Amino acid sequence: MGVEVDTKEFKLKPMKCEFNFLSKSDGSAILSQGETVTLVSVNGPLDIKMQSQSIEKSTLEVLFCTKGGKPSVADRYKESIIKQTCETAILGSLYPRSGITVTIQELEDYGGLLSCALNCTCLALLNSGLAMRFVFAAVSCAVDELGNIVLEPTQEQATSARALLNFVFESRNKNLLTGFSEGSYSESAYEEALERCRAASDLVFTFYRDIISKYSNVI
Amino acid sequence: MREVYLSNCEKVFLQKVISEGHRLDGRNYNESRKLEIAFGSEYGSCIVSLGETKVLAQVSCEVVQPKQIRPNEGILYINVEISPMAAPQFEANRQTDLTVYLNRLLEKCYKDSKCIDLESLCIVVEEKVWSLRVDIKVLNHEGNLIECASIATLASLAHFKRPDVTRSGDKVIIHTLIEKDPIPTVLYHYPVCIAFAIFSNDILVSDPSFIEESVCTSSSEEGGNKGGILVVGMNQYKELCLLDLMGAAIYNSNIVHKALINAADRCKEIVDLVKKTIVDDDTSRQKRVKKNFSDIITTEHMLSLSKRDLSICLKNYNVDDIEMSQDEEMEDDEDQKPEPSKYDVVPSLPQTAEIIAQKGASSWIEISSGSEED
Repeated sequence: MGVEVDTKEFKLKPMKCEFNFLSKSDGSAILSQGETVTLVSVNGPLDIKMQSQSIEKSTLEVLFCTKGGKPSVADRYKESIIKQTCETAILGSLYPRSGITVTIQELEDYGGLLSCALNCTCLALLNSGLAMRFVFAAVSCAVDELGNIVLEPTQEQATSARALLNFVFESRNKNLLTGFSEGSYSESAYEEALERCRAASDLVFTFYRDIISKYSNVI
Repeated sequence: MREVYLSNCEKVFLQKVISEGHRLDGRNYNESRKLEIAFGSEYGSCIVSLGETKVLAQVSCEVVQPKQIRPNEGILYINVEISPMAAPQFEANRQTDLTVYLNRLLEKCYKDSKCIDLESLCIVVEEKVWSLRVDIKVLNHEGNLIECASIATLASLAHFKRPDVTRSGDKVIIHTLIEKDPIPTVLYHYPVCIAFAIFSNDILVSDPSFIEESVCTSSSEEGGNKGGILVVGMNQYKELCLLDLMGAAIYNSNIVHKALINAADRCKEIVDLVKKTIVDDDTSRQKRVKKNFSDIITTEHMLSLSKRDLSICLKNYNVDDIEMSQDEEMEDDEDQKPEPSKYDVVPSLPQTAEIIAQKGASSWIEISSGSEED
């Protein structure tokens, strides 16, 4: 069910999504953004061990699996970013003494893997029916050699870029939820990138709305 | 999450259904689910789905020092991982009996049967060899993981191409994929593991689903287990590579013989399909068609919330018979109209029924309790 996100000002990579790809999970989604593809499964609320239970809110567990090779520190980094973002988005206090597991499987990586994983996680959470404060959308951009800002850089652009910036926005007030960056950049470049990504996140939210309305024609 | 246990009713019901010659999903005893192989953009990556069971395989290679006892042979390493994605009862980063079992069977089937020419992976004797690593990730566990994982291993190994290497004196140059065409792996033969479930020691069921697997390995009501899972590894020349039995001992050799005959046909089918998809993939790559896992995103599951076929269908169950009896009942009490429910079960295809949600907005129901009114 491909929906091309295409406006004159901002161009995001074409996105394709399918819900319920896995039959055993409570919620699952597979999302492709351009050539990058991720698969996410959400299980919860689950019965978990006594020692990991929390009486105030559900225990969130996030696992990021690469395609091949041994697990590395970079995976743990991605895991912690996704975990922090999900923790704010999920209304965990509704599910005390239970666990929620989110498993992300990388299928193809051609740049922008982390933002694709975050968007896919959000879709899988929507599919699982867990209560959420808001939905979130991740947009990545690069600052190239000349100081220009490139939205959703390709892999070549990303490797030659001076800095890579990633932002996650929430749907209600378009506030910044998570931001992470690498490389060096000026303060004004950061401000500009933030605003452009904020505007581009609208396209992702429209995509969410489209896909949900197609998926559940009952609502 | 803790393991979900099988209830006695499920167990008894399934055993009864099987003994009467049916299966829950309407298949025959020796009928398998639909097999699909999809390749990714890289060499040696594929997703194999057998019905709803899905497995991802990725082959990667690196140059390492060979083992001391085999200085002129490359290394093949198989690693199976079952994450909570496969089913909620699995825990992250933990080895279970199932992982060890799958790993060992795949090693037996692909390493010990010597189907890969390991000597061709040697670059410099005693110094440098290629080490192939096959990563198997279980995405969805709906039974018969071993067959699905073995097809994924075979397809990814056959699809994989390693970079070309030239030696000049002491130096070894590894060329990138753009500089020189990569070299495919040499496979002498194509072994595949085929799993059979054995019920009450005489019924052989191929490609068991998750519930069939768990019923046949668990002990029956009267105590004592009479079933098990028989795994047969066989190549396209109908040569036996591996035989493994889990569960109760077999006291009838005919059943093994029958399994071997069934496995031989099935192996041929699978290997032909694997070879065909690889040839198709190769020709499309030569035409510079971009292959990607995003191709597997379809609309297949899109409408699953509003309508989904029931997975259970019995082959002798006829929808028309049921309709007849329903009509008779309706005639008896015509004035009693059925309560309009949100979901309607309607017969769709023969042997299946669909739950179709009625369109329209959901409405609130007023619930008044008697005590409050008083």
